[in-house]
Amino acid sequence: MIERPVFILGAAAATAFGTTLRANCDALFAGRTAFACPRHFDAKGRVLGIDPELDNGPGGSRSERLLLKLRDAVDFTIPMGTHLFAATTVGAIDRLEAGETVDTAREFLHTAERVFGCDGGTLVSAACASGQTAVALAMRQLRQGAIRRALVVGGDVASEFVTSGFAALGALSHSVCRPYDAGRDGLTLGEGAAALLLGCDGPGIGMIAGAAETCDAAHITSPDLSGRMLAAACRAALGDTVPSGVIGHGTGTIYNDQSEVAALHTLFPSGMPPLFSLKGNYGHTLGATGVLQIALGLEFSRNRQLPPQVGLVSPMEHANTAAAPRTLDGGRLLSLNVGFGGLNSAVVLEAL
Amino acid sequence: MKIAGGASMTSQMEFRTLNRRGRFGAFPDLNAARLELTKLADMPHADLGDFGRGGDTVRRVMLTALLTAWDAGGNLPEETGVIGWNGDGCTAENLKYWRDYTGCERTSGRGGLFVATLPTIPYCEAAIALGCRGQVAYCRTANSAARLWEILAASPSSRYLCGEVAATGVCMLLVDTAGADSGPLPDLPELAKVFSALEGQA
Repeated sequence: MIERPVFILGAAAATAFGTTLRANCDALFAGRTAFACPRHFDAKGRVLGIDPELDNGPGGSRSERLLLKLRDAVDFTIPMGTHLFAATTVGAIDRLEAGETVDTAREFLHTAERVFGCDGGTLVSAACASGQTAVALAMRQLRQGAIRRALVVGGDVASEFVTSGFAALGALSHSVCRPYDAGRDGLTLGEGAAALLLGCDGPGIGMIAGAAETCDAAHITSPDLSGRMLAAACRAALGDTVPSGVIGHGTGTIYNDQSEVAALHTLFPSGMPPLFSLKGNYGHTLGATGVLQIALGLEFSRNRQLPPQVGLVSPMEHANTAAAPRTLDGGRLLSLNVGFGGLNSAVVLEAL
Repeated sequence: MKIAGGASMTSQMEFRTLNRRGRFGAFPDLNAARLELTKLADMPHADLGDFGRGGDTVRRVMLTALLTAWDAGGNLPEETGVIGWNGDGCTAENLKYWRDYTGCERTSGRGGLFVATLPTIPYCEAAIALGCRGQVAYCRTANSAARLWEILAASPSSRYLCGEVAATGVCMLLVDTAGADSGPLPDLPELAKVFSALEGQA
């Protein structure tokens, strides 16, 4: 069965590097990082990928400012009747930190509905795979004809809540994250937001060619190190196509990167396509990362180039990553998300 | 699309199932419920080795999921997906972690409490217990089960365990998305109400 294509009609990002995809791409290719000590909480000497513009400004909370910044970044029209899919892990967690007893994820959804003028949205939460899971959900609803347009918004702010939680799990890097490096020692948290407008009537600026999700069903925090079910998601998303590059989840933790590279090595035993992770520049933006990967992936696909992997000293075995920009032999890219609970997501995208 | 099985539990730890008309409990606690329910004939194989690791919400979802699989006839195919829908969300878990962390003068949090703040965690634990390797996610939509049926109809797995967690109880249905239609599924604001409506029809 030939499935209806789903087109990307618009893409936007709001990060420490600015509110245009161009500015973000320029920063990535220049090897810039957003790492700094946060001013809005005591991170106990740790650096995070911080957007200082969110420290002050309009909006009653950091998470609202993030969504307002994303709205300013949106340079496409959101048609009436567009269905909103909001992807987040902890949402408006800053409001809980401020003493409010609120459902922080639901507050994020409601703020996004108000900011983007879309009523009756869907909140999608799948840990750190929330962004791509929301894109996949939207893609299927569009293909089925249940909705005509989808706006997928992914976002999370840097918070004491999440930083202390990952610290308790021993998952944070002692310095900064180094995705796919043999000497990696953990992740660095970040913040940001991104949006995609999807529809079935193209051509738009790109397309979602496939998506699939699986669960390891193995361990609640550690991925299956064989990467078996992540590879299964990749196979289902790719069909019989081969990507020219991979935007990995690449958090820089020992286990995440090992499992991802194992999955990719299983899929491409004679040599995997060039591999890159945004986390070396932004840190881990949690619910935003999947949407951000696709938004920026359109630029990589169009320009047939992947940015240099920041922080890379010595690539881990089998990881086809490099500290210099990589030229791609085509525009089809595979994007990966992995989350607590053994959640795996694979999305195939291409610029048009 | 049709409902292949279902189970619900109340805050008094009484369990009911849809097809087999099972009635179990009230149990004094979740461990007692686990001991009794896993003794049922035809109970599917489940890995409950980590039952004690999770909080009450995790354990309630694990037991209700297990009973749903039993109600549907046994082991679930590996490609089964698990979807959490609406319910109470994670406010209680968020507050528990945050109060614990701030109560320790912000020196350190407890990893187990932090992990529980993700709304997918109970459903992932159920997936681990039952070996479900399809899509797992949590969705919050308008209070209309029609929206959930719409999401499932478009989803890739042929079977989904759908769950709703509230202070008043947990409800799970096993939805066969590839099977022959059994007529329109009820459009009600809560999964627990759908369960009751289906119970009335059976």
